[in-house]
Parts: sequence; C-alpha cells; structure tokens
Amino acid sequence: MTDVPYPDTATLAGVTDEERARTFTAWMTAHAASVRRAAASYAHTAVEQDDLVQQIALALWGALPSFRGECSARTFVFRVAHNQGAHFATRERLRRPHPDADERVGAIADHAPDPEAALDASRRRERMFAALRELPLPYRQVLTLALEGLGHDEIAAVLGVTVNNVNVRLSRARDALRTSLGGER
Amino acid sequence: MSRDDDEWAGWARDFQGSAAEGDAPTPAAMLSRVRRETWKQRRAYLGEALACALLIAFYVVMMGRLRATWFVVMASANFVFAALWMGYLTHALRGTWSAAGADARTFVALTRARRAAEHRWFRFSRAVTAAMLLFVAGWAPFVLRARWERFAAEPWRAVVGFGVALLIGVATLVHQTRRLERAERELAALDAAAGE
Repeated sequence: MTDVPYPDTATLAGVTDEERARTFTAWMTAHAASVRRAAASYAHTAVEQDDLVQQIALALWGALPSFRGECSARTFVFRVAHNQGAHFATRERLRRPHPDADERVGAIADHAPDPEAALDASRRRERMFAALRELPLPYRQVLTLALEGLGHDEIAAVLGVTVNNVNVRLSRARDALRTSLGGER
Repeated sequence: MSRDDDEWAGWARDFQGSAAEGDAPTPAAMLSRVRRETWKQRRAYLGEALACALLIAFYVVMMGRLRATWFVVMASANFVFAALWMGYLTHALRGTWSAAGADARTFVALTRARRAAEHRWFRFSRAVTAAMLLFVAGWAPFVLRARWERFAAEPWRAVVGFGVALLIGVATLVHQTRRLERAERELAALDAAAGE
C-alpha cells in the first residue's frame, strides 16, 4: 500500500473548511480498504462494520485539525481507526458477548470471478477475521496493523507503545492466531 | 522462504484480499449510505402518520354513534394530540430529509442532524407518555367510583383493566427511557468523535 502525499507532513491546524474536506476525502479514499479491514477486525456483522466505518470517518473528520505532520497520513488514519475500533469493541463486549455465528457469514465481501475459488477464499478470510476478533485487543491491533504491511516502528506510533512492546505482542499474537486457526499453514 | 514466512504471507494475502473496491468506504459512498437512510426515515414517518390517521378515523366513526358531550370532548382532545404529535415529529426531523451537498462536510452534518433529531423525538415521546400516565392516574379514581358496584361484584375487571393499562404505560415509559439514553450516548459519542 502506498502512502498519500497530500498534504501528509503539513500541519492541518487552522486550515479552511475546504482544505479540511479535501484532505478528508483524499485520506479516506486512499485508506478506504484498510479502514474497512480495521472495522471488520472489531465488528462482527456487515451492518456493525458499516456503523463503525462511519464512526471512524466522523472521528477522522474531528481529528484532522489536530494533525501536526508529526507522523504520516497513514499512521494518523490508522491511529484514529484503531482508537474507534477499541472503543467499539469494549462497548460491544459489554452489550453482546457472543454474536450469532450466522450473522458473521457474508460480513467480508468477496468479488473474485471464479465462484469456487471465491467461496474458498471467502471462507478462509471469514475464518481469519473470526479468529482475529476472538484475540485479546492488544494482540488483535498489532496483528491487523502488521498484516496491513506497517513496519514495527509505525505500529508503535499508531498504538503509542514502544517497538520492543510491538515485537513481544506480535510474537504472542502470531502464536495465538496460529492456535486459533488450528495450527494450519 | 521459511515456514513462518510462508505462513505470514498467506495470512497477509487473506487479510488484504478481504476488502474489494465495491466495499471501499469512500466519503462519497458513506454519504450515499446516509442518503439511503432517508427511506427508513420516510417509512417511520409514514407509520406515525398512519397511526394518527387511524386514531382520528376511529374517533370520527365513533362520534357518529356516540353523541355524548364527554365523548366529543375526548375525541377533540385526541385530534389535538394527533396534530401535536405529527407537528412535533415534523419539527424534530427538519433539516434531516436530504443532503444539502455531496461532500464530506455534508456527510458529517447530516449524520449529526439525524442523531440530534432522534434525541429530540425520544425526549418528546417520553414526556408525552409520562403526561398520559399522570392523566390516567388522575382519572382512575373517578372511573373506579363510577363503576364501583360492578368492580365490587367482579374485582377481576378492575385488576385486569387498571393492571393492563399500568403495565403498558410503564413498559412504554421504560422502553422510551432506554431509547433516549441510547440516543444521548450516540450523540455524545458522535460529538466526541467529530470534535464538534
């Protein structure tokens, strides 16, 4: 995934509404798929994922003026997305400990041309996201960010932890995911 | 490539392949989703309008049969109530029927306006339910006195009549309170998220 050049390292404090809207559109468009995946790692159903994406978008809108160019746009967007995801997960855990398995089906869409391959891939992805959602929050966050292709230093910046902490969490998270997926692969 | 690397590459492929272009939450797509919610809002509004129309139709039909003054007064009160109910609903939903533009600001503004409208409406409907409960509570002793002989002979009529009314009223009040609290939480979360 490529990072967005616009405006990326410039501060957004005090920008006009037009500039804010342009930045928001550029960043959301560039990181749309990542935001969707982040939402899928926290919310079980497609409807909940849509709601969470909306919440993330609103949070990003609100957070834009606080961007000082101290990190990349990608780091900033992921930080907002995972903060919102963590809030959502905490709230949902209190509200509904275990969603129906049926609700999960179809939560991650697939548009591959070969129906059989699509079904197989879709099931594999669904298993992966279901396994991710069952992981403790610190493991889930570090894993999803690493699977997005972020480096350890960037993950540390998103989550506000040290690189050493990321290394330790990631190692444990990989073991936990492997166990959850039945030790396959 | 080691086994661990293979495993990681497989996971990353599965993970990154999960969001197709059609699912991308671009600002335009999100605004489109918020616009689609307009249909849901229209259905809810028409449902309320239909309920009020049925209430008015019932009293109009009954007024043709019962010409007692007390009934005309009660029917008139219900007509006023239906008008107030629909009037306030229309007022609460003002500015939430359509998006004024097609940009990010419109998306934020419309989402906020709809949550605020829900909050206003639940607060109003709960207040109306509370007022109706108070009215019924004040009216109940007169009903009890007027029908005392019948209730004394068949106490179950009083128990069922007042009990069911109380149960429905309290259940409605509890439900509306929960919806209001949820709307308050959502609005607060939205304001906190959007930094408004």
